[in-house]
Amino acid sequence: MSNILSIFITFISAFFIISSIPKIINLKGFITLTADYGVVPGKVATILGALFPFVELILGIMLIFPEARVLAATGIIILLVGFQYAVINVLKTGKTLSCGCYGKLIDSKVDNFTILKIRILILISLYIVAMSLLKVENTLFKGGDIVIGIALSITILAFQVLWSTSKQSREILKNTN
Amino acid sequence: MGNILLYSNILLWIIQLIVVFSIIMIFKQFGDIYLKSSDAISRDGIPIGDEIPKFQGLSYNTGKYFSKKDLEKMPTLIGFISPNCPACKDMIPDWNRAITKYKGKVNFLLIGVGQNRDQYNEFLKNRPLKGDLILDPDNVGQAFRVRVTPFAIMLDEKGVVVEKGLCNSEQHIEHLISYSSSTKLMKKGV
Repeated sequence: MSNILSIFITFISAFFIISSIPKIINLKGFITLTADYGVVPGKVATILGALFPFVELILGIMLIFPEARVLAATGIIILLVGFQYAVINVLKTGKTLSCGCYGKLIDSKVDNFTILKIRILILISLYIVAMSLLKVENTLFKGGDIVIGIALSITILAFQVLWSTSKQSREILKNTN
Repeated sequence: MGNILLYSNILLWIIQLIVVFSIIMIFKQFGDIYLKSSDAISRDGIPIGDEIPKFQGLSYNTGKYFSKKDLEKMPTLIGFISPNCPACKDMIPDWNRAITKYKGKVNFLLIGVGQNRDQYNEFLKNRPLKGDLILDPDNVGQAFRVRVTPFAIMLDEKGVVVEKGLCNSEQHIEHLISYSSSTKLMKKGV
């Protein structure tokens, strides 16, 4: 059990840190993208767009510390539920929009894969909250847990790259017909 | 040692997942290229040189009875449409123009995929059709090996396929008709 919790914490933490850095590097682009979602009014979108990457980074780091873990995981769940709401809204309108999940690192579009990814992250975060509240065990991060957690994060990124590339190729095929 | 084995095993499973996902994506890509490209669509339909299967049905708009035999005196262009296909809707005016242009030289017949009359009522609302339309008699679309609409097959006087392909513009219709012997003669001024 200890292994699974440590792996999941590392995974979520690494995932949020990795995905927040490209957004911070290209903050202007992410602010524009948040406004493009059209879920919140322009000015609020600018503020949220400027805040989200830093909140993600802070929550990702907070998750490593046992004292702040429940708070961080709860914050992550709230953030993810908000993302999910925005993504579902975009899907309903039928707009083709970059999801901006990894800034300029990966060009991923808002689609069902985004929803699936968000739901998996929510489930894992819920597991972290539940296990941390129940204090089933003390989490000791072993080298192996960290490696597996980071590998899982990279796996999600790899899935995203494969999915986006495949989708782009299918679009090109469609347009050349 | 036990831990190293456990972690390496988990890592290998993760890598395996990425490999499986990659293979699925590659297969999806192959499927798209094989089934959805224009080359793939041109492979649809009955092969050139083959006869069309027997079929019969009542015309949706004129009530006239149609069978394969009725198409044997003149070259025939058979078009396949479906009620939910926007390109099929756009093709109707071109189809009507071709009927007027080749009257007495080429038979024109549309086969509607699916037999839902309500959908075709809606389809033809504000969209007058000059030729005949029969609603997919006995899943004839499948017998003609048509996967996408609008698709058309050009037949000679004997009911043998001389050309086939997508049919969503006047150029496509003209291209298909150009394969019939009588229009070839017409163009030569005979």
